[in-house]
Amino acid sequence: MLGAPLLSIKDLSIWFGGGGRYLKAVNRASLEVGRGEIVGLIGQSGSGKTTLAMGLLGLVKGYPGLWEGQALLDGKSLLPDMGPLIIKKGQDRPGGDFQVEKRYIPYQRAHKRTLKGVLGRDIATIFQEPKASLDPFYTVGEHMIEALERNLDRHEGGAKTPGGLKGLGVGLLKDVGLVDAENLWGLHPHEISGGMAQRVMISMALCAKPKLLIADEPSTSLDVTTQAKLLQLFLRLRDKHGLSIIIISHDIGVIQEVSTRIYVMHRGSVVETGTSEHVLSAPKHPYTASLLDSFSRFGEKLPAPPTDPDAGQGCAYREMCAAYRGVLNAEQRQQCEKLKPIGQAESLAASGVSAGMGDWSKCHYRETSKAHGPGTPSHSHLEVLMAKEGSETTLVKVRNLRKRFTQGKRSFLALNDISLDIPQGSTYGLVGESGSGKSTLGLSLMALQGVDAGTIDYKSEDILKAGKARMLVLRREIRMLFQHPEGVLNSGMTIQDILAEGLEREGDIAADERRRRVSEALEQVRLDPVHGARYPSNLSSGEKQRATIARALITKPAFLVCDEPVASLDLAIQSQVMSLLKEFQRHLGLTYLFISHNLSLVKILADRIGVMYMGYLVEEAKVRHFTVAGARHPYTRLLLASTPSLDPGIREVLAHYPDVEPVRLEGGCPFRNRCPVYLANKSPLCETTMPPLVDIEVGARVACHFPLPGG
Amino acid sequence: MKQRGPFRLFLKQPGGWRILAGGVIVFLLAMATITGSAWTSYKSEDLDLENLLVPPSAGWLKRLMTTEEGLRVQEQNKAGGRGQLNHVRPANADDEDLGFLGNDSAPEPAETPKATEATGKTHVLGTDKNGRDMLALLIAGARNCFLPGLVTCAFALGLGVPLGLFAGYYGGRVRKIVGTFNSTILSLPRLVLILVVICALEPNVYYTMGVLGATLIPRVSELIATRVRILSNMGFILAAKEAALSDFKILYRHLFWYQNRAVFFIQFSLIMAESILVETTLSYLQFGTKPPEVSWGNIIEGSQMSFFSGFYWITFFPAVAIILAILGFFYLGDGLNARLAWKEGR
Repeated sequence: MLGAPLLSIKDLSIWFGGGGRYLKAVNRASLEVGRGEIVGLIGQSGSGKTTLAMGLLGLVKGYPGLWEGQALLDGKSLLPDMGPLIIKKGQDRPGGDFQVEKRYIPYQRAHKRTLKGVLGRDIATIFQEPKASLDPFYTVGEHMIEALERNLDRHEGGAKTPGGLKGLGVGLLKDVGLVDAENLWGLHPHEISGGMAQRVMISMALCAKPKLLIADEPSTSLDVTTQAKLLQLFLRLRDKHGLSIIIISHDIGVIQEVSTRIYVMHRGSVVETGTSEHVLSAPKHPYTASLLDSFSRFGEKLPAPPTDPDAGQGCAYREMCAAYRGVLNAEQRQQCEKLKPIGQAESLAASGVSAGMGDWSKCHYRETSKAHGPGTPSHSHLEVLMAKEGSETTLVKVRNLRKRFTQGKRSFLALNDISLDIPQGSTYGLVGESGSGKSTLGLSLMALQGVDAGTIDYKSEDILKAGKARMLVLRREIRMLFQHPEGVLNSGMTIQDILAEGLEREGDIAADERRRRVSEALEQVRLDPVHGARYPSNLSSGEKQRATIARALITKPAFLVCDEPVASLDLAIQSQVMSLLKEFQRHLGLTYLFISHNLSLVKILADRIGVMYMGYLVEEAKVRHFTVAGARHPYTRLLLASTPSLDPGIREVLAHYPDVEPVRLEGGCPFRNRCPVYLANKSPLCETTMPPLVDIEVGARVACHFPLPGG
Repeated sequence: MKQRGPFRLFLKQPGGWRILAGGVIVFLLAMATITGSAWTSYKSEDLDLENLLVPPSAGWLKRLMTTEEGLRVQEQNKAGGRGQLNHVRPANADDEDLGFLGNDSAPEPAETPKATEATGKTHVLGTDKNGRDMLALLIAGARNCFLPGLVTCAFALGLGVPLGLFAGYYGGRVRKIVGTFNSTILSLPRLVLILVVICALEPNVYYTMGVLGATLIPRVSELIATRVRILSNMGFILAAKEAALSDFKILYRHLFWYQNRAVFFIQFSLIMAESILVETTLSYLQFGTKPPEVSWGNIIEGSQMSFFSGFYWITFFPAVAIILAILGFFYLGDGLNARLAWKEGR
């Protein structure tokens, strides 16, 4: 890194609130971003990472009340100089109640004045929901023109460029990989995909030629393949424009892919900083280690991070610390039990080293790695697999399922001759991008969605032909988990009422019995039965999803359709929910259809995986078949390579794939516009005939004319 | 920390005070409707001709808002003067029709209050110029606005809520039919409709309130339909179908009771308040409840001229009753909403 950092935040605290009462959301954090550097900010939801970056710009809901500390962009302060805060009451730790003597309204005004000319000019931002961030009544072009007009002075020639504003705008759109920018110009946000919308947002941000781009969970709502392309775009922008980028994410995969340095936040404090390689290979703080381990130690019960790290005596993280339990000697352990590790600010004051840079961790023994040994699954997944083979009885048999959706004049096949078998007690993973028809298939299995043709046999009984009365019985055996637990739980009902609903079909049950069954189901998913009396809004998102699992389990089902059950959850909570699902399968012999857009997630749970693309099943095989080298269909390989990883070989694989949007191609193979094989040989066969799904090796079916050589 | 009783805790919770205040008032109204006849030994149609325009018997009420002239009259009353009416009728109101019976039957000179005391009966809130007991009048008035109000609600909510649920949940043609029905009703001028019904049928307050309720159907059903339309797209409806619930249960339980009960309570209180307002207004304008039937509106209408002559109580009590009743319903609906919102964490 050369010269002074672009953004330098020192000892910054942010309070929320008003009327004399404040909550500390960020606790004396320091952060530095160099020129042309991508910095990752990682932490669970509620850790203060968004508040730190966005609150600085006054962009957080519930405008932060107060700041203390220093934030310099290019040597210019981003915070108004209003003198020090006087804290009257409350403890100096996040989450505590404060009484602060400062009039925050003048402070806010001063802050807004300071930010004028910086926000949207030197610092640009993009948000999590790209489609929601665009005005639905503006076309893409109008968005671009609006952004350009404000920043014309930054462009050489201004409006006099050939082609005027549109020429400039189209150029910027092409810059971010939107090749078809001319056609895109007149479209409204609902007519473009989420990935395209995010690119439009980025090119709007680039209109100002900013020095710093803050991306708040930029890829969380996007497909894996779109996410991979977006991350590549960030790298390209940095190289081309020398842009500095702060990426805020809860997903360590996203961060490790692009950022050179990482800041880990927990409960408002920065607990570890360092270069990506150092932090990820040898985490120096137990909390970072637990973030990294969320999936590799899947199935084990992980100690939860402390809710208030500053309470009590000693290091609050020691329970989850591998070094504390392992390599430290008795004397060193005593140190951990007695003393709190010093924070970023004190560390800076003591050593004089710029705390924002360098490797640092809020730990007494920051030289010792806290990484756990390589993840050893508590039970051998393969063993279970072996045991299952041979004695397989098919629970669900889907044959030639076909469903056509019609939207106005356009119509398309959401399901195209899908056939698959799900053996009893196993998990079938179904993977695909949004729009691939995987959720439609899930809903069809529940008979919640009619189909045009085909059969679905459950225990050799055709669900689609079952009468209404029979269906009511079947729906107790076949249950479903949905993606958004918030929506599934009626906000006006208590958890108890919601669960008890499942028992209604069992005829009259005494109130005692019903209560017993409800609390039994809650205990099954590790929820305190006390939660039964609560309303959904009083539960955390992980607890809500566990409540929806309890809601399904209460009818003692045999088959569970899980439609993206963890997609809306934090990584650590995802891991909890996945362990629960695994456990139920082992103890209750449940069969799952696990639908997800995330192939690496599906691989954890599934025995067989089917990959869907645009309504077709393009590849189906046992789980161990799914590696970048082993995959036979080019699309499967793309999905596997899109999963964030540090392996440069995988990035190379990704480079073979063209950067185009998925389109529904009529006739022939639907994937050909994105397929490196077709683009290389332009075979007419791919243009005319949809390849059939054929057995290519034992237990592996692929729908491709030119399957890749297996590894 | 000091241990708080459940009642104190209830008051501390959101909406506690509002529910208490509104609940007490609405409870009083309901009780007055059901058991009101037991509250006073007089009936509203009793004419205590010996005690015309007797002020409230409670001392603090007597002193309240009494003008000098009123005080003088009260003194004379105490002294056992002749019929009060001759003394107190204001000069400029000589030709006014002070009441429906006022000019028809010249009141007999009242006897001394001693005679009243002898029978053991007192007029707690006084009497009007026909010698009717004010408390009995207020209770009769409460009955005549509470029950018609319920009729309004029965029409507006009883039809509006199901229509809204169906329109929002099923959409398509059902929504079109309901929408057409609603716009047809909205295109009719309400006041004219009420007057037409009064003219065409016998002037019965229940007919009037029924019509009022019918004109409120669009408001309720559109509100519910819009909410249900949004809610129908949410996961829990799909989840309810997945849990094999019947349409009726989804509509009644998930969409109405657990999602729209707060709206229901608020609409109930608003419509009750509105119907009280319309009823008293119409009665005041002599289109609604006609004498000898009693309404707060027609009590005020019949007594307004004597307000500034010292006989404040005849106008004052019904006016206070109207305000309190309306406020009571508002508070109750508002408080229930706040409490539900707090419990559900909205």
